[in-house]
Amino acid sequence: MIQFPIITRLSVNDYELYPGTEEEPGLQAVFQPGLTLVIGANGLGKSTFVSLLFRMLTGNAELKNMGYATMGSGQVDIRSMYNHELRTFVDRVGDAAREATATVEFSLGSTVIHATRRLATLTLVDLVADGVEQEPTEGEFRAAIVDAADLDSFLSWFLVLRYLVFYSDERRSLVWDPTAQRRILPLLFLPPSEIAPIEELTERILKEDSTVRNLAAALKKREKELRTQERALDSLPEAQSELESLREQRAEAEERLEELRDEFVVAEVERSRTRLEALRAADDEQSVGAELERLRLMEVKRAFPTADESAAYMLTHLFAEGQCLVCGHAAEEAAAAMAERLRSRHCVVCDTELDPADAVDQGAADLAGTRQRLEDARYALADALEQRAQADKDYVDCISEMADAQDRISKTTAQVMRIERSLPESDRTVVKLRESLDEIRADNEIARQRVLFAKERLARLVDAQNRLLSRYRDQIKDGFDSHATGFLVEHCSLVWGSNAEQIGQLGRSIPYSVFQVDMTGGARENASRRESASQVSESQREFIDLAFRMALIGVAGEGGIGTLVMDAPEGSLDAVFAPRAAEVLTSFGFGDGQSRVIITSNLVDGQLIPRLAEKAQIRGVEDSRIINLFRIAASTAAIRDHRDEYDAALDRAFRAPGEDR
Amino acid sequence: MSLLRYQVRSLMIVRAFERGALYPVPLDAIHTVSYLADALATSWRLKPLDNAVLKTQWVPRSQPLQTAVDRLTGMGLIRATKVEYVVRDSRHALQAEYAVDLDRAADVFAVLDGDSEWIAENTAIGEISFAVTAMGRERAPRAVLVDASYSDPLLDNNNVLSLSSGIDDEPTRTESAGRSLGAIAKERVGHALTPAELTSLYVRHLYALSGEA
Repeated sequence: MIQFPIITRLSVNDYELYPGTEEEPGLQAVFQPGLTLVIGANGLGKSTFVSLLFRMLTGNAELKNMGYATMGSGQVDIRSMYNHELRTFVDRVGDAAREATATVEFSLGSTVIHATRRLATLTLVDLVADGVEQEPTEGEFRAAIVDAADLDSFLSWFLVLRYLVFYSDERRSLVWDPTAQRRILPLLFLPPSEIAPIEELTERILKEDSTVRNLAAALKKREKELRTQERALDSLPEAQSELESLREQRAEAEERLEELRDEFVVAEVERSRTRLEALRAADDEQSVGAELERLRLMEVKRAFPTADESAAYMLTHLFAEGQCLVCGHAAEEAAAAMAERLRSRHCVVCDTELDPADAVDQGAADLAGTRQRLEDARYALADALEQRAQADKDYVDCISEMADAQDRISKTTAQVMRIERSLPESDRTVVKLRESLDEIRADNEIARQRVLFAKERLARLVDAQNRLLSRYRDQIKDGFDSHATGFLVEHCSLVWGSNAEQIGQLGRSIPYSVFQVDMTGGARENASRRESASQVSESQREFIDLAFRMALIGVAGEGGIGTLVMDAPEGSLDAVFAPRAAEVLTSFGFGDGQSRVIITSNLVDGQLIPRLAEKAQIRGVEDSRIINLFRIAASTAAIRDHRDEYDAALDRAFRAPGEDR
Repeated sequence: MSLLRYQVRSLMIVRAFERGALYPVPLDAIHTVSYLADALATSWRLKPLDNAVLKTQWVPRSQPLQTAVDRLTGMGLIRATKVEYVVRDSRHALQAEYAVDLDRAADVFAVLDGDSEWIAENTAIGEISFAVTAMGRERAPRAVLVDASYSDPLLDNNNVLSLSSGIDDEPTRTESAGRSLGAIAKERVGHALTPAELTSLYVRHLYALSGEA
């Protein structure tokens, strides 16, 4: 359990972007429990507001080794922002933000922190923790936060802000990024003492893996040198030529093995995916088949109330699946003929007309619909099985080819060594090079074994960690359901699964437990796994991630409370989903009475702003929970030229429900 | 895997239950025994029939095994009774009980009983079925749900449970759990347990767990 920040105040002074009014200069925001809505138009500084709030909590820290869209499997750490990154706030104004400062107030559990920074450099000028003045240094700031938030490091704090608290314009997702989850889930739920050994071991593996690669590169370089030296020797040209050829073969095999290792990772993922799809398709087919059989069995039982159950079972199959269970052949014609007798109230076996009292209500529409669904399920199953067979084949081929390549490497190495030993050692340089090659090979092998051993240990530690995390699985899933159901029309659920991650390049991948998303929709009747954000619509992507964040804050946060800052949710929402989004966003803010939701939005027509205001019981634009950038921010040309239109739109957005629009 | 392999397994299972209290054998028990035979395959030196199953909140149903059972019914080698369809979580599932027609199936069993290739599987199926019968009608359907592999907390429903990597003989979690129990038992009885004893011990362990579940 950790303490999520409850952001309570933000004050920005002497910043030209937010001049404020004569009565209240600058931007003075008090975030009350529930919703605060920052309303503006393009160019008024909505995204800057979110960025500023973020920077007040992180200072000039930034993540290094960060992937573009996803986190990336390298070791993530904190670095200082580069000069051009620090210009974010400077470049928005004409005076280079020379005098601009901002103060944030937030609490972490019972600890209240005030921090004031210069916007031009983000340097701290004032720091107060629990009413006690502190040395305004980043060290003091970070230490106070790590201690009060119950985290292991400032890096963890940064990740919590980036992946849980702030949903900024960069739209970095957590639910679709398994690497980010593998770093963040432990820091939310496990004590630092559980996380540290894994972090240290992972770092060691990455370092030693890099050593192995360096040694391999050194080996190649020395081999090349040796070849050059040996070519210079006049003796035994035939042996030299054979040596040359063998080394080329070995280099080719090594190169191919490298390629195959990459291909294997892809083949393994594809094999897992197709196995799941095939099993789910088979399950669907069985279920729909059973549904059709049930309908047919009811008919058969009504027509043959005294029939032996096995006979009924066989007839049911014949009618439902068109297959004769006696001989195993397809018997569509016989099935159709018998079904026709049933439909026309004749005995299935002897065609005698039956008493109307024995009439069978076939529920023709039900049958036709279910039969069609069964057809579809069968096509889906056939397709899934075909894909699975191909993926299995690719997987096995890859393993087999890797074994071949490894075999070729071993054989050519043995041959090379045999010939090398047979060559005259008259040339001292060649002798020395061979010795040095042997040493590098031995060092490389030792380093390789060390990495493999460390990875086995890491796998055991991660397995134990996965088990500890799994205790929170159901709570998180329930939390997600309660938030996602409010927004999504499709049925969407979290699935606790496994993501095999390759740490370094050597050895096996490590399975980390992460959440994945199953969702109905598209051509499939039942839910299917959505492995990436590209498999859902933009608004689904955002709100599924948001529901996941809310669930995590609810379960991992002490008291289930926290702050959520979201920049411009309106961009991905259509008319139907805007009110649903308002429902979800406000449900988080009001669930416990203490959490804060800070949302920035353009002043757009539609349901989002009115519904947010309605849910939060905001009665007008003068409400203290509205941060009106039209009033606070420096006007753009568009605002100056169209002030009346904006005012009218603002009025419409905050008019009470039922009033004329 | 051919339909014939599944038909052989189905026949073995239904016959194995024949003299026990769980006869005619419920469909879930057939799937349970087949699943456990796959989960314990390495211990019995068998090749699993289904090396991957879809984890759900119910007993996993193997589609090819079900097809085999249906075909055997059509061929008159087994008889179905109490046929009904239940709805679980908006999905339909067949429920029935099956009995073997020993006269009709006599020739098939004569081949199976005389062929050394089938003996190991038949023994394993017999031992597992015997142990599952001892769990009784109420708890037997819960055996799989508390099995070490199937109930692994790291694997949520709607995921693939792998019972064999297809590359090596790495034991399943079921086998590892069985071996741990076997190691404790060995301390007490003074000798290593046979696969049959291990199977029995493991299924008794499932019986205890299913009471707590």
